[in-house]
Amino acid sequence: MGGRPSDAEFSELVHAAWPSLYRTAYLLVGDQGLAEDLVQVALGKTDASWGRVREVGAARAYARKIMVNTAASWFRRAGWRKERPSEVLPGSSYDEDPTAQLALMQALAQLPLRQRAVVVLRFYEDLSVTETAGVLGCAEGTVKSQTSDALARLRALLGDAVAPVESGAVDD
Amino acid sequence: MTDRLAALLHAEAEALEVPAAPASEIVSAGHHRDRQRVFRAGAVAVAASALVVGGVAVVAGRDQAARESPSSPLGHHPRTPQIAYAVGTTVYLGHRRATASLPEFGQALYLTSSGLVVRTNATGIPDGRSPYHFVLVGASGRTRGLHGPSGDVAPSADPREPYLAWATMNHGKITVVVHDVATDRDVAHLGVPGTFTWGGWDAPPVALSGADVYVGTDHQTHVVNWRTGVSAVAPGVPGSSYPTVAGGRAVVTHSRTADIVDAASGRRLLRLPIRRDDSVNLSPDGRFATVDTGYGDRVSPYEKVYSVADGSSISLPGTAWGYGWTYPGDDLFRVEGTTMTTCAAATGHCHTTVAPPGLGGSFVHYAGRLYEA
Repeated sequence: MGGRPSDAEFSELVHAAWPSLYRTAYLLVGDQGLAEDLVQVALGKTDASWGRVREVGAARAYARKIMVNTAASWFRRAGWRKERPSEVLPGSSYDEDPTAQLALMQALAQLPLRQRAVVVLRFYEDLSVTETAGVLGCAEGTVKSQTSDALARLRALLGDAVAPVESGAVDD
Repeated sequence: MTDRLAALLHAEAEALEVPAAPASEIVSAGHHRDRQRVFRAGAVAVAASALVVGGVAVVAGRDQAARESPSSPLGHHPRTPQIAYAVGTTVYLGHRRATASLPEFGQALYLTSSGLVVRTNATGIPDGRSPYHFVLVGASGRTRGLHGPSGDVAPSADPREPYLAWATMNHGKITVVVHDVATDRDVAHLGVPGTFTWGGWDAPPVALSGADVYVGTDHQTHVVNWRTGVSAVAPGVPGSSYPTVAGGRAVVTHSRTADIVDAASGRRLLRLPIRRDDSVNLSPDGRFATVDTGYGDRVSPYEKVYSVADGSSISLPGTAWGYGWTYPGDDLFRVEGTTMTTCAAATGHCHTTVAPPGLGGSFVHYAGRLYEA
């Protein structure tokens, strides 16, 4: 598909991409309302820059990239600081280990955005180092170092059981 | 192995109750989006002439400017535009009703004493993926390309000064660049200690206030006087934060409060109550602090404006980040459709005038904001 999609086609894309983008956005920003806003902005920007997307199949990946960069721009604003304490953590129905789950979101909130993005993209989206570097617009070496730093911090916050020490784990 | 971490992330995400996709809203918003044709900029990005010598500031023949009192008004600089905003590829200079056509989409506006500096890129998306260029817009609307950082950095200007400042990173070494927009030449390159990993930019964000450049590195916010080269840790301003400094005042944000401090001493001048997601900014001269309600407050967003001198405040309706500042910084303004609303920061009294036609519901970039993505 080379041309711009019709409203119906773009609406279909929105419906298809929304759930997965929303989940990724939530892990990035830790707030369901903000996640909703973030995905909406990202899809709106995707629509506005359709000429760069070129095909529907690439739209979701493009929207994800826009979403991460938009989150970065939000975090840069003065009201966002590196370590914003969250007074009320969002609830969840995950019942296997609620303590670990609560700690996971708290721990993610302690990471600088790029480290958080690296964790989410690599270990939730299951992107490779190369793909993550492409989304973040940085060098692969930066992804590796940010992954290493993030896992080190998560180990400190969550324990080795969640992010165990293992040589080479971040270099794939 | 990081299987456990991946499992926890998936469990967290899959447990979410995903709201319905607002497809019609997104499609409808797309219809209103500015789809102006993008004109490619000429080749602007040419390596600037370097004046760096071993991390020490080198001043290119300019007299030491007398430092103004932090609380002094901006004063009269005839080439600083009184009202300026950009929509798409057009800059509007309000009081003169002059317009300027940009070669690309306007992204952010910087008030300087030599005119309005506009950061542009080809896509209209401020995501750092499309190279940025800079244009100087004179009071009559005449434009001239400027050398500037093409990467994803956060520059800063002071309306009293003819300079744009930004930082660069090269092999982990942080350098502050001060660029005279009147002559389009760098006047100083200064090495800054520290590391930068906390933000998503290519280099630490900076704030220019008089001759002082504040640099948000990982562990401290450094302040370097570009005329003398003297560098120090900014008192009271933490590291890993965007330096919000204007008129010698700085914002220090905590979880439920924000302090406006004297940037030179760190002395607290005003403490403001804030909520999660609120964003605190300063007017271009630092005399007023604004609190934008956050992204989570979608019911009744507003902007609260505090006088740093006495703590009195007014509230203005409108969306967060929806106002610019006039020059001198006594008024805020915003444009909706064909109406420009100007409000006195001290009293909250507003009046409306007719804005140029054709803006519709397009996104407006305002001058006077200390930072815009």
